[in-house]
Amino acid sequence: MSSSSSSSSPPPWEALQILGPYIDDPKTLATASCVSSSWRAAFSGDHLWARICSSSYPSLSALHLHGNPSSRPRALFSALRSAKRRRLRGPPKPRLALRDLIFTLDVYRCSGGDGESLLSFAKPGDELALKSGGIFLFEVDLTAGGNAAAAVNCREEMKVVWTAVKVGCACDVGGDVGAFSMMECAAKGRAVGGSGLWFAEKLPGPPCCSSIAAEVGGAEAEVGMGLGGGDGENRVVERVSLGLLSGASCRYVGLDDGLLYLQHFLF
Amino acid sequence: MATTGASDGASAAKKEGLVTLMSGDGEIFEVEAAAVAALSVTIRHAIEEGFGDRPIPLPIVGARALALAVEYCRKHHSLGGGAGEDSAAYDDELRAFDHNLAKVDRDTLFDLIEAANYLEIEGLLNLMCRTVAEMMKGKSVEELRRTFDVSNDYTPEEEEEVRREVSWALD
Repeated sequence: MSSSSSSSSPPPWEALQILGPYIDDPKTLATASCVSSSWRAAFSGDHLWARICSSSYPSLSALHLHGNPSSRPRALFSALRSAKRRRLRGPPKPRLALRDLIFTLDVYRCSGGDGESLLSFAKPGDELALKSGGIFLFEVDLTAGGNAAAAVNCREEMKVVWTAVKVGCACDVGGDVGAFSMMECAAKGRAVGGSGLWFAEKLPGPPCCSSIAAEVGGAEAEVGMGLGGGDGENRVVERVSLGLLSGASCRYVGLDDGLLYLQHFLF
Repeated sequence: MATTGASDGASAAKKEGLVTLMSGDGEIFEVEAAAVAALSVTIRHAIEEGFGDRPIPLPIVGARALALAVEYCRKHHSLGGGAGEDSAAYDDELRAFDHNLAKVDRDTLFDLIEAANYLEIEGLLNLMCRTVAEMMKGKSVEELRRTFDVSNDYTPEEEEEVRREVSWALD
């Protein structure tokens, strides 16, 4: 038996085997199992983790009876512990980024049946100006170069079509995966203060948890037109804002929340 | 402390109430049979099986660990399990003794774990293992390697994999 007191040697594996059952703390046991291959052999045994499992999650013994007998206790415990962390962590970061998106907006005149286009643009997500930090609300300035000035009649019914297109999917064959209709409504805009005209439409809940989404009031897409000069009812549209609101709070959702929502439909 | 020395081992073993132990590295210990038999299941069984009059070989227990284990048995035999008016004072003394014993260097700590396990001295095994478990608590993988002088024998890919399995524990 080695017994020099001047310089220490690594613990013998026999001692590690003996030590295992005395480590009650799952975190310590798990960390120890990463130290080296002999530590892993000593600290990831089924007998150790079965004990940890049954003291932390007594219900697991029932799982062993009815479920998969091949589940290793350590893997089971890790899955359950991660499940708790996942809840504490909140929603994941979206895989979809603003730069993956193009927003297209088309506004047509409804009356007369000719469907005359009044306003039309396609804007890459990374060129969109966030109206204020962190919320899903974008403003497009139509007075800046390149955009033709659009005139609308505030009293007229208009058809407003706002689509989110995922870059790279737009030309895919049968590409309904790559585009999501944020709004497609025919309505008169709601005038606000004489300089704004607003359109809103309810959005479906995310398909994965629609009942939860419905309970909290779902989401709403909103298109706002900032009006400039003109005569009476015929006005020039200077700015367009595109936003996503929470139906429950009637507030704009966070940018990440909006992207997570779109991700459900675009992937 | 036990009297040691291979020369008088055989004759001393015949003394009344004494038992002779031989460590893995050949040292002879003469100790009170009652004290070690009361705490070590292994030695109790050896005595019951007729080893009382010849040295009991303890091949995997080194002399240093055996000396400490014997000291533990003596102390706990004389003070432990005692009822009556002195028991509270004895408890304090035992606690202090255990506390001191747990301060041995790290190599001895692990030697004692193996010795206590082999000799089946439950209290000593418990004391030493709890001491090491306490040393490990709250340390990161790297800190454990440093504390216990363990070299990492994983490839970076293997290490990433073992860490991923228990990622819940590592931050």
